[in-house]
Amino acid sequence: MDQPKIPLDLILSSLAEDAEKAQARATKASEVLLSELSTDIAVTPYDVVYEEDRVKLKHYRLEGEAKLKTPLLVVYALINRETMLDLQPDRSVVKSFLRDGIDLYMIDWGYPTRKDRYLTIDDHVNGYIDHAVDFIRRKHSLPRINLMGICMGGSFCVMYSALHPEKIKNLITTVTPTNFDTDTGLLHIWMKSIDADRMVDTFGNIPADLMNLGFLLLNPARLMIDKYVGFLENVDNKPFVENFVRMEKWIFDSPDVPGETFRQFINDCYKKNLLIQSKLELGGKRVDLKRITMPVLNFYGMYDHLVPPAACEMLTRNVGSRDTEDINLDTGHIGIYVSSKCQREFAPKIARWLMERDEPDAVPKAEAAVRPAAGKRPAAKVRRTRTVRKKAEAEAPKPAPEEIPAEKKVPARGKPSLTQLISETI
Amino acid sequence: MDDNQQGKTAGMSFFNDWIKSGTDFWASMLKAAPAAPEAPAESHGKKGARSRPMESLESAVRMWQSLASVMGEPAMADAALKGLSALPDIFLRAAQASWDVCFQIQKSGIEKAGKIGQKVEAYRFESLDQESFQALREIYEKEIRQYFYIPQLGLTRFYQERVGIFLDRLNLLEATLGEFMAMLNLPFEQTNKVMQQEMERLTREGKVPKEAKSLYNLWVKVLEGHFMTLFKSPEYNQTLADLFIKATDFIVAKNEVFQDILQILPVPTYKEVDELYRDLHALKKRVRELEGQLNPA
Repeated sequence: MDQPKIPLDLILSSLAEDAEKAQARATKASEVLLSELSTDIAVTPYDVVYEEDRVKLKHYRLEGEAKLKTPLLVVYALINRETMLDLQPDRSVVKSFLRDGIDLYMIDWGYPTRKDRYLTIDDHVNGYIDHAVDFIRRKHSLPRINLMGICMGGSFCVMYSALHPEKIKNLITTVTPTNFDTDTGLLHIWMKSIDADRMVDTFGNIPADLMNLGFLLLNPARLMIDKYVGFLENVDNKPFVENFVRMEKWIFDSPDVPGETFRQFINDCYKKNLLIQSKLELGGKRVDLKRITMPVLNFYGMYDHLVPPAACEMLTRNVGSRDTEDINLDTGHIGIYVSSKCQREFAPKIARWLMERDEPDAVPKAEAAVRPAAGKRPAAKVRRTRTVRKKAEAEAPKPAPEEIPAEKKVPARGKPSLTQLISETI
Repeated sequence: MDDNQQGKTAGMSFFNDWIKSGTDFWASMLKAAPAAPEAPAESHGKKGARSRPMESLESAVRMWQSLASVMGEPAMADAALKGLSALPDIFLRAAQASWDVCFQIQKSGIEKAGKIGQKVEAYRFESLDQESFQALREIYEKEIRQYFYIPQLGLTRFYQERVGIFLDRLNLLEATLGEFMAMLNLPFEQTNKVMQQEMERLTREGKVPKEAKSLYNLWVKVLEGHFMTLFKSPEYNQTLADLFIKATDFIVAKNEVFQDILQILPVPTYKEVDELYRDLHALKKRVRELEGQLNPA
């Protein structure tokens, strides 16, 4: 006899099994959800060493001696919070930096209120960032420090380094948009058609919930449906639930964006693409990328839909530095910081790169303003581009054993973490 | 004829009766449906919004007929009988777990099986149905809107005007929001059609997955593709831009009305506070500049 086209008997049997599993899961889920969950984020200890208005400068406590003489200041975007770099203990860029002996500072932009609506990019770059940099320089008696920017924070760091090259020793940009003239990714398409003036005049500051809704609408099937289906399927798995809740906490912990900053970023960057052309003006001064003469390390994600490679990769070709490197990681916008694979490649690479360029500043301060960074300055302009893909993992230089502490290795869980999947989707 | 064969014949007779009654039910449902008036949009060569419920009902009938024809096959009936003979045991297990959940999933699975509708091309929208919303908006703008702009008189005329504008903007926002939400629903509609088509193919090829999760994964993937197609369409971008304009217009009008109300209360308005913040911001910048001049680094 022919095989039935619809195996009803098997389907019914499978459904019965599923129902049994669902009941078992529901029973265990209630135990998990009612138990004490460890869902705190950003638990690495730090001290607030400088404050100005809503902005705080965090200084992380080193476990041992600093291996690098030059401290690193990390500047996050104004969208979402810097806690993403310290999301969970086994996937923390902050912890990784500390283990590598980096003396780490980070700007916490806080939560803008109505009174911050008139703050411009100039106030952030030549105000808050400059004051934080000066504070660290004074504290360490150094003429220059290392600067690292993330996403929009990276754009701010590029602007800052062009305006104050004498204060920056090495510049690291990660998923940093500098070229906005690309139609790759919905965000770039939408931002070009958005009426920023109308939005700012209406809202004052741009509400975080509105922006989050916009981000969710970039991929509703995955971010509003599939993500939570995945959660329900794993709701009986305590570590999974804890990581999922941590990610949720981070995603929806979004400060509003100061109105005038938003207006300028959309109009001058997204619409007029002034930054990469060295035509942007801040506080009456032109941001000339050729003045970025310090070494530049530029990371971006191959599958980043928010800041696609086309938005990042032009930077190194337009700066004045002779020592630049592009690294294109096989991941998305957030995956660079939270995926276990990138944890092994991203932070250790930065530590190595900084270590190679950590010679003390012998050059007088005034001269440093016009000369490229000390360190291994190549005779000719050298640009390196590296693409890190999964299949090339075996060939890629493996980090030294001491760079992957035992506690950082991700415990085997049988299937990929949903946090990782979400981050890749984002 | 042995007992086993007799049981099979009786089972098949019951099975066929069951299928026939189901087919009759759906056919009568279709007849009972009121004839839909011709949608104005159809005259423009596109399917109007009013034809969609009928289309769904027809799809459901076709789905059932397709399922019935498959179920009528001897092999199918045998499998069904096998399933039926195992039912007491299965239902007992399922009931222990959660009878209701099992029943719902089974019902949903059977309903979705079979041939539905005509050929549906994935990742393409035949009609974005903007005409119906356009028509609604036109009716509002021609017939109703002017009532909110009747010249106001007397001492409170400005306040009344602002309330009128607020109500007008609210209505416009609701119309645009409705259009936007309907647009966001399109990928779901289209995905369901594609899934029904896919089910038909799988049924024909005898490859119906026994796990619901496989179907869900396919559904999400197709849905994601449809959303991406929609988001790149000029119609969606136009509607999104309209929504922003209408929403901001409404918020401005709402703030104007609330500011009027707040004037009665001893609290400052946004307008007043914003002016203060602007002055404060300018002052702080000036102080920093002066500090910089006094204490150069």
